[in-house]
Amino acid sequence: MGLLLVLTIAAPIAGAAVATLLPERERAVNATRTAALVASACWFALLVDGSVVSVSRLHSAPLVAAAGCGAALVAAAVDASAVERPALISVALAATSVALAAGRTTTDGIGVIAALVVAVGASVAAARPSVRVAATAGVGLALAAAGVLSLRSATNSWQLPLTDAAANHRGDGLLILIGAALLVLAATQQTRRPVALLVPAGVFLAAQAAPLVHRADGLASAAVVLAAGAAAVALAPARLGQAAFNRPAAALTLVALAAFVAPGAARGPALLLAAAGTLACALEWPGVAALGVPGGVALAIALASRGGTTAFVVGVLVGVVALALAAAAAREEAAPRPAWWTAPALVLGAWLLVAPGTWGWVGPVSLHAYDIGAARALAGAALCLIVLVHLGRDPSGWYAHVFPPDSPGEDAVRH
Amino acid sequence: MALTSAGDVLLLGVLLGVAAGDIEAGAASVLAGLVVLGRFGTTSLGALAGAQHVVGPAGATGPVLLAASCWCAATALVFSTRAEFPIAAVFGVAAANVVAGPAVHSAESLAVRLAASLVAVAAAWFVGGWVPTRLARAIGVLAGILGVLFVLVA
Repeated sequence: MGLLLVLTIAAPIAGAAVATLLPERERAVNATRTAALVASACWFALLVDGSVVSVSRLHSAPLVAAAGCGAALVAAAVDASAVERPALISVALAATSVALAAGRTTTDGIGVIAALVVAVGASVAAARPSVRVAATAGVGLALAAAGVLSLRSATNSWQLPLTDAAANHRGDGLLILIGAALLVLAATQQTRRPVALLVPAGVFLAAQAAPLVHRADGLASAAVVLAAGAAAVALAPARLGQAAFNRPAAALTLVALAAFVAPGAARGPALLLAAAGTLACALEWPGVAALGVPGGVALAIALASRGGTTAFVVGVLVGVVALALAAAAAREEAAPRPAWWTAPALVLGAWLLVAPGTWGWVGPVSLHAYDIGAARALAGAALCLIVLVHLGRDPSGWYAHVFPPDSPGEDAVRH
Repeated sequence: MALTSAGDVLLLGVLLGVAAGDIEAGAASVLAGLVVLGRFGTTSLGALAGAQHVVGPAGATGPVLLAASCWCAATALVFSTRAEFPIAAVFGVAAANVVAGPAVHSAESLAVRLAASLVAVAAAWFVGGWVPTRLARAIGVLAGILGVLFVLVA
């Protein structure tokens, strides 16, 4: 397993070297994508293994592996036409992997921030996005760094999250959380761009800082503000026919951040929503917001079992997000054919939608009934499809429309 | 899912919205699912059927507001349907589950479930064919919101 952890970082570095040597941009992008897919396979193996693996100053735990797998899948799905320097995508992926794996057995806060600075720089330089993207990411990183440094000065430890749960470091945690939210907002301003790599990194940072903020029963104000932000992003009007954000990715991820600090036990649902948001970065498909359904259902159950005004307000805001995303998906044009490079993300998305209860790394979620229902719905849909295809098997049907017979006089004319 | 009482009521709501091909229908169906979650504390259709088998049909037992919330949820489902019979049947069976859908362990519970399903399917088919779509959607969403409010008040 140690070798796999090394490969998760070595593969993107090798990809960057190959991409630098290749003269054609298209082939260079393909080299970086191949390296990213190798890295995602390694992270996935580490995730399935589920144990804590440590090599030198790097480690892998289930949450680290999940975030790494997501980042690699997003890197593999990058739109080639938007990339100016393909090698820098691999550099950004390698830096993101180092950020996620920083620390011997637990996450090293300053290691995360230092590697993320490199990742932000490389991903911004790879495609030269607007100044707005770079500025938002920069401010987010600065806030997160301030939070980590403040935590260090208070506890004499770079560790994230702290093992000492009794101490109150909510302010420092909140600073890191706000920084992570800004990082996510910067990364979701465009679809399938190199900067989208920062979404899983931002979510990981938030997930590690969330216990500091959540403490015993969540932070109502932060949860409501983040959920309201998600609703605002989901409802944001499109300018010149183009939305200001990758709507599903941004809204789902912000809802996930809100769930991290919402009252009650909503960490599992938050991780499911974060996974949906990350996969939405890799898939340019109008209905991709549907990936948030299992997380949304789990969040509804968690909020209902907790009860109270804050849970109700967060629930209403999440409902607004769901409605806005559904309306946006209904308005969209037909889906373009997905690229082959997005196939692994598609497969994982289908798995998330049909059997989220099997995603053990997210922790306890009440989705047993969901799994049974989704399996039955899938089986029923497949059965209906087979019956419809069987009933519609008519020689004068689709075949005749697609391949019309020659006119009677055609042979006579030909001969 | 609705026929066998297996699965998740919120997922059922989403799938019903997809079947109806309408955002308002989906919203009303999910609101009906939230009523079930608020009243029974679970989204499992199996648990819903089990609870109704033990304490009686949800629309006829318990405090008045909670019973009324179940009727509102059923109304939301019935008014979210379309004119086609297969879709009306699915919405009708789901509505019957919410009001009177006990787990089938005896002839009595089977009879209750069958009767409720037949009535609900007939009502859904009537609504789909006769009530103007926009009016039906508005009634469905309002009934769903009213059901959630009843659960919150109770």
